[in-house]
Amino acid sequence: MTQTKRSVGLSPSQDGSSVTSPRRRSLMAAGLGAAAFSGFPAIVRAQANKIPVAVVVGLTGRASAWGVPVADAVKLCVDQINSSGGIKSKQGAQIELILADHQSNPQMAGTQTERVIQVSNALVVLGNATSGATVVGSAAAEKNKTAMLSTDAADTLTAKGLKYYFRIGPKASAMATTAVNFAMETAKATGVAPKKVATIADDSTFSQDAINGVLRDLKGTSWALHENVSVPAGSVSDFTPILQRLKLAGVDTIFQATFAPDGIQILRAMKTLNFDLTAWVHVLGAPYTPEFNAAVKRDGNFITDALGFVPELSRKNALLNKFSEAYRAKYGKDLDDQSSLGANSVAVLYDALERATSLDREAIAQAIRSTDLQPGANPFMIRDGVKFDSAGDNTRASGIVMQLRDEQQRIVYPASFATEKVVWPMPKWSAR
Amino acid sequence: MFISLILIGLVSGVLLGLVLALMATGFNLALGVARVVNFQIGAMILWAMYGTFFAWSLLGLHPYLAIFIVAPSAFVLGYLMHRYLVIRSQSTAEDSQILFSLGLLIALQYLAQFCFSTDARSVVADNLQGALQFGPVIVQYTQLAAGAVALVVLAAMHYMLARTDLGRHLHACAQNPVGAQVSGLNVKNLSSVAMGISALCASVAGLALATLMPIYPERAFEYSVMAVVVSVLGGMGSMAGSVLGGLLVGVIISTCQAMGYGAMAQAIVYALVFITFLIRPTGLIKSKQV
Repeated sequence: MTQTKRSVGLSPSQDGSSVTSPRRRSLMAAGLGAAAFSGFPAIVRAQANKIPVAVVVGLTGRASAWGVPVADAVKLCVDQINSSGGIKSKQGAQIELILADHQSNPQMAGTQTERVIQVSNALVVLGNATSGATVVGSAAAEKNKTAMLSTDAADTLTAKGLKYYFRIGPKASAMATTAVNFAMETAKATGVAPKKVATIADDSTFSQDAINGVLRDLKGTSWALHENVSVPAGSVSDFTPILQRLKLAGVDTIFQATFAPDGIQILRAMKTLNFDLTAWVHVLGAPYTPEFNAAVKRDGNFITDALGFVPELSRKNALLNKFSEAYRAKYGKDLDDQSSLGANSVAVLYDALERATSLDREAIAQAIRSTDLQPGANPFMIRDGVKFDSAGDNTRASGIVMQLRDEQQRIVYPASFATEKVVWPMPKWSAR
Repeated sequence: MFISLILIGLVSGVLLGLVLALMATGFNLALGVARVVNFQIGAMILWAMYGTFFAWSLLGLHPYLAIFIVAPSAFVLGYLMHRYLVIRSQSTAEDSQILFSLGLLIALQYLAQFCFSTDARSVVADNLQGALQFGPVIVQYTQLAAGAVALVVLAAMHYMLARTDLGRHLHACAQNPVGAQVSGLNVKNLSSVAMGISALCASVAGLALATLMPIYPERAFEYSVMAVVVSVLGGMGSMAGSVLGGLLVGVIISTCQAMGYGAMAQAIVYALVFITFLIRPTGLIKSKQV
């Protein structure tokens, strides 16, 4: 493959508008011909007035619960950037957003990521929202030396030595650490310690990474780990046999990482079995999702969940509040974990495009690599700040723990963010 | 504790198995009488689950009272679908028929996704939220109700097939469609009726499952596969085989889960299907047609 270092295409005229002279058109045609002859160039520069950026997420299928909020938030942010004059340091270049749907299919995530880079010339990819898809999509981005800004949390992604993968939020094992630290500190503060602990996780990459983080951190406690239950995601028709086994064994605390459908089923079986727990701590997973809350309603109360975002955070954060209002006004729904990560991704992109020495993939990736943003650094930096380590993890991403109370997500940990005192141990089912 | 876990697995497995048996009976009836490889049965189950959910959430009907809406609707849909749609595919090669059936399953699944989104929804009937306890074994009312309703419909199916004129006509169509035609039976209509009954079985299974687990579109494919697996294991075209296969698969799944080997359940079931294919290709109980 031939690499071309020369800029190909349009350049701004002196008055800032983009024009194409006949000579340049000839050069461009020659350049494109050469590029076509030699295959796709590894470095493709954008037209000066358009910066193609792709969002490759699941817009249909199960993953759309994660993909659609990301796409919505990114669209809102990009609209705001473009309408406020685009990328100033690049003569007001507008971001051209390319939306691609991987249909909740990991293989399709790879194909679509490849397509938006090779065919649509995307200079940066935001994707792929869910772990299975991102494992494949990130490989395609890496192969094409194109930066991928990711809202996914699976540890696996930053453990592979990828150079062009950047995670915006906390990784699964970091949230697991938050979950276990919360449990340890709360047990110490209340004097009610778990006696026998079990973990439940589905077989998705994210859930396995999360629960492995929990298992690792539990070794630092004095609690007895009874069993690590692993189930195929969405395929267990009846959880009662599993839960009866745990109940008979005397398990009183469960750490869990499952998606909403399994989370709903497990909760309903727990209630039916009158399976009382001291604590039920989730790592991201089901409890924060609207579908979980719509299905379980009051039965979800007192469950705790380690995650990166709850709507309540906007009370203390004016910027977040402003963005939340704009998001609600445009889409008629609340900002959630994924959409807030989507906004933070655009914050990083916006900053990197302003700082990039040129509009080619390598320069933009390099600018992203050197990101150093504090919360509120630009209008889309609505969550934690961002500074990437060599693996592509955001060293400034942090986790919080919320507890469902009266069907609302209330922050209970850490103390600096807490808006409610945690209820620990959980009330017995018969006493609710 | 070992005995307790076995008991828990057996009880849960039998109750789940009855619902699986009902699915497989519907699949087998369509195969035996209408000669349709009814892969779309999973979609019928899914749509019945949504029907139950909306009857419960919008009309305030108890999920099991929704049977009076869901089951007749499913029968009519199954009948019409065969009469005006599936029958057209039957003049094509067998592999085309299978592709058509799979296509119908996918289309109906995506239609559900388009109409209802991918969100998981749950039917939570207040008076089904309790449980009975027999020593260490706790059985949810939802499981008991699902098993009981499936058993009643299976018994009704058995009675209909063994003791009624309609059953005899269906048997005749299944055993020798040309002979049945010659003797004056309307085979085309009876095939559509069989597809209607198949859809009815699927709808009752769907209704029962709606009370047990969250509903979301991707369930359709899972249920189609389950209906095929149970049918193949028990014996294609055999109602007794469907019941045996359903109970066997239900008990294997639940016992594995109770014992802490849930991940092994599917492997054991598929291994059993594979072994059955090798040593007894007709399934555990050989079909006498239907």
